[in-house]
Amino acid sequence: MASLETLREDGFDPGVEDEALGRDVIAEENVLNVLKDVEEPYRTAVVMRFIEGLEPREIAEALGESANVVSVRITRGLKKLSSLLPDGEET
Amino acid sequence: MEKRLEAFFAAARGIRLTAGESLRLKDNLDRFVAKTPVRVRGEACHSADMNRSEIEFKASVEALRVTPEEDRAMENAIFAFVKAHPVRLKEGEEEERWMDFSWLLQPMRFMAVTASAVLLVGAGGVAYASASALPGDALYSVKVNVNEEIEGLLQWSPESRAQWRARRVARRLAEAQALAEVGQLDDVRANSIARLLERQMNDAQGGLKQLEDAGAGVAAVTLSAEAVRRSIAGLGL
Repeated sequence: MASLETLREDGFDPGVEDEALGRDVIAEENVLNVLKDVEEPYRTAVVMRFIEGLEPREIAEALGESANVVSVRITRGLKKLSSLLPDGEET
Repeated sequence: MEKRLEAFFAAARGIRLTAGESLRLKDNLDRFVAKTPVRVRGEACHSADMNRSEIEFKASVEALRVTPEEDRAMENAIFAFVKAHPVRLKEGEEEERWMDFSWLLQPMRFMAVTASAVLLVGAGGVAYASASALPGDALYSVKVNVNEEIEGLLQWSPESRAQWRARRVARRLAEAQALAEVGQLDDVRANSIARLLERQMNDAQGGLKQLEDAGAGVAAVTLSAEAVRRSIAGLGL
């Protein structure tokens, strides 16, 4: 599957690099950078579960995997994420 | 869950595309897909305005006429089915209704937005071309299994997800009507729609139950025969 970087090389511009509009862009970038360091397929599982708010059953259906596989990915993804966040950090 | 993880996810959920960014994202995506069309036997599968299957479908509808009796029989069958299998939705609280205006205004959905971009572009616009595919078309599976699933991923509140599920059911009914009108609702296609309908009706009703269990929403809305009639009219047939 093509990454956003590959798409950009092919000429696709997501058009989201503009004004900050008062947002805490540094905090947002930190969040994205930390997420980027969680490898696939664990990142997708964690994002779908805790950011999208989907149930493991729904994630399993969307990804074509079993709910057990999804649960394992979520657990491993969380563990990795936890190791990436400094102790006591309130991102 | 650890507090720092909770704080992390809260921050992640708070990341939003502004309305302007979202519109630009969509524009740029549209332009990119238009610029790099999928070609079948040397011909682009879609144009900026309308894809070829839509043009062909409208042309075939114009060329074929169903008798008023056939039309009435089909409508009656569909409405009877809907009446027997009502899908009820609950609307969200007032302050959450803005979420339904458009996914463009919703908080950024990392995976879903990226996945839709990748699939739309990576599949080279097949997803666009399949939006009007009907059972029996080669692209129907893409429409039902890819397009609609992505659309589902973009529904991030339980309310909008329930509404999306109901829209999906209305689409299946509209497809049945469309096929009947061009005399192509054969047993195989009717079965294919019926199977999907059954599964998606269950999903829709499951979503409603979740809403009820969560005590969300204020007004019950019934997906009535009239709503389906409107959705069929919305096809512009």
